[in-house]
Amino acid sequence: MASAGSGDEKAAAAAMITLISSDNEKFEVTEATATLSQTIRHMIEDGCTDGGVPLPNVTSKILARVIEYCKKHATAAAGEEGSSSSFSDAAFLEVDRAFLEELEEFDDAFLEVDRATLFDLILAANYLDIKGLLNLTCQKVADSVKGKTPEQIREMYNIVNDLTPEEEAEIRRETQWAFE
Amino acid sequence: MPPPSPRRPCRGGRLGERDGPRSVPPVRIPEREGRHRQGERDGPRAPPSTPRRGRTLERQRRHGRYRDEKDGPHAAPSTPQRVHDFEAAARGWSPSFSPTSDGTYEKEGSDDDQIVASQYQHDEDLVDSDDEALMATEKDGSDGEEAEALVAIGEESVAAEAEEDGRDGGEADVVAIWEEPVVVEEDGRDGEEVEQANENPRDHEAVEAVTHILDLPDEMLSEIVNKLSASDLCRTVCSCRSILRAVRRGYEVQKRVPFVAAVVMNSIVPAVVTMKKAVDSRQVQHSVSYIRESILQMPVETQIVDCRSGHLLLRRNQGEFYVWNPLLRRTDWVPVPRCEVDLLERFVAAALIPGEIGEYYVVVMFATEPNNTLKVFSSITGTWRTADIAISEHHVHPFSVYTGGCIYFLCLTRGKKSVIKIDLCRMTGVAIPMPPGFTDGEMMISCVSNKLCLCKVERRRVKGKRLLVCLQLKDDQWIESWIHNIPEDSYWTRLMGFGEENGILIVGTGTVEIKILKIEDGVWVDMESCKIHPSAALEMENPFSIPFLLQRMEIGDHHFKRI
Repeated sequence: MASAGSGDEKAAAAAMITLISSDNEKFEVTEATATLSQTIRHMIEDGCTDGGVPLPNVTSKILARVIEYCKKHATAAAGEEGSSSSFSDAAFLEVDRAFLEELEEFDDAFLEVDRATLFDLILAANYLDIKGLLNLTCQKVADSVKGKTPEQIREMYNIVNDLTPEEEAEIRRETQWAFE
Repeated sequence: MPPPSPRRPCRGGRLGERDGPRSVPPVRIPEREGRHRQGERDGPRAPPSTPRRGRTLERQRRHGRYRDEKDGPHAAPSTPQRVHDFEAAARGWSPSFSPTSDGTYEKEGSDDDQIVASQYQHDEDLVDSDDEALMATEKDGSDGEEAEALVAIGEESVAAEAEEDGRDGGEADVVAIWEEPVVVEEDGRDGEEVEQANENPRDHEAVEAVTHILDLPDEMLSEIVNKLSASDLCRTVCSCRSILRAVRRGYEVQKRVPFVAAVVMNSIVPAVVTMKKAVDSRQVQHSVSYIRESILQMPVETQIVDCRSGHLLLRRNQGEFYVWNPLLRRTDWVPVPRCEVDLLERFVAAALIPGEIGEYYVVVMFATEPNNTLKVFSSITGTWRTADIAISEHHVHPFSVYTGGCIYFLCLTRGKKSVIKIDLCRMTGVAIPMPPGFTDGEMMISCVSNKLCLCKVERRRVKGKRLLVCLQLKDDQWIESWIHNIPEDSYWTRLMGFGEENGILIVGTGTVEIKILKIEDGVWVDMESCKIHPSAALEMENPFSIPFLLQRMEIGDHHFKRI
């Protein structure tokens, strides 16, 4: 999906950036895709992307997913329509409503991952400074605790309650309205 | 190595005693055990390792890198030191881990191993050599230190660990189950690079690292909790201390304003009233009693002189001031360096002004002849500044309004009522004359959208009407903004206080009732009245917006002292 898929990229003009994951896997992406990450954008601006951009905090699995997200959203940002995997020559200037819906669907599907991956995505999004992805993933976690009791939250995220009973009682008492 | 942090071996029921920068749930104990075993790889016993252990190792490795990276050339602009510390502490990197050594670890540990070994013999083959490689890449010899430290864990905690580990094994299975579909999906979608990964199954295993939600840095946790609604937030915070801490640190959250609050002062017991829209009075009562207990512990001669940003300014004697955050539920106060007060100077009024985070100003006005003295303490410089101001009024309402860099006091001297405006930067004072007709009646200043307001209740009914009038100050001119006719059944109306930030007026409408009026448009906020003792009220800038959140003026623990 993401790796070394330069063959079908027709846009010769688009500069390619090589991203290197923590396990030394190389991913080639267009500059438009890569610059969704502010971290990489700054590196490109500083001109230190020759020979690839090492991303020692991101594993290949997570990086592949991040790139998947970036590609989709980079095409959206460029106002292009078409499949997520390849750029079409014809740039549609109007952002189609259907496309936005598709993007939302993509985001939903994108978030259908296990929790570990989700946390890794959050860390990666933070490290790479991709606002949209960070928002998306954090929202996903936030949504998951919506309407849950503390017990359910603990169970769900395997959190051990390290508040003393007094502390917990105090918080509960003060915020009783939240528990009703 | 990151700086060592205090850790205690006790777990379970005594969690409250912990004092580390961030407490670690026991769930992660097996990681450390795993590390320990890895560290002893050369010894006679070849301990097994589970996929979970392999993953956690990988996770630690990644976090280690993450930390390093943060300080490295690609460092993100905001890399607070505390995250560094906290990560170090949370993951048990500290060599200072734990006292009581009785050597029972080995025995207990090996029992545990046997159990685990039978379960995970297969996995061991997969992961072991990889783990070795990982360990080899670990820098700075922390393994050795840590292994030593871990041997020193007490019997009790090891027993707990064994239990935990048993649970852990089960959990690892669960994890494997619910991860499986995803892995399959990845295989399908990811095509060639997953194939590459599969060539080396160990790598693949390592990539499947299980990340605990508490492994996320505090910034990420606040990022998540910022997206929660207030009630969800309250419940989430109740789940564990780490999240509570993250929330306390997330300053953004305090922008929400679900509460209205007032500090009610009377001569004996001050109390804080908190109210939420459509709150029931039972709950308000509760808040009152809670704060009352805290404040009761104040020395008798201490007086609350101002309240802003969730903090109270206390005064003892002439020139001793203290800042206190009642939300911390501590009977300690932050002393403000002593203010030199001349024998002829008499205290008139004081205000607590929040600056940037952790900074504050204490503004005090003393009455002298012929002009008043203004003294301003800045926590940035740590010194008092003194200036004479062209104000001679001695009788000032205790509530001040702070807006646009100026503090406003309402001067109540008979026949000479005025509003005193004090410019904090220039250290000057100006008296703004009252609008015509404002000679008697109960008055209160407040502010709405950074404009000073003056509210007045007429003393008696004229032609069956008793008015509540509100004026706004625009370019030093008072402009009437609304008039409210007080209903006839309200036999008693007193202005008790105001919400500076919320733009509300707290009105007492009976002996024991409070009503809230929105100053902006002069309408009553639909809210059940709450019963408190009628007395003066001081505004508190939503101290309870998020009850467990430190306000803007977050003051470090080391500032606190008993008085």
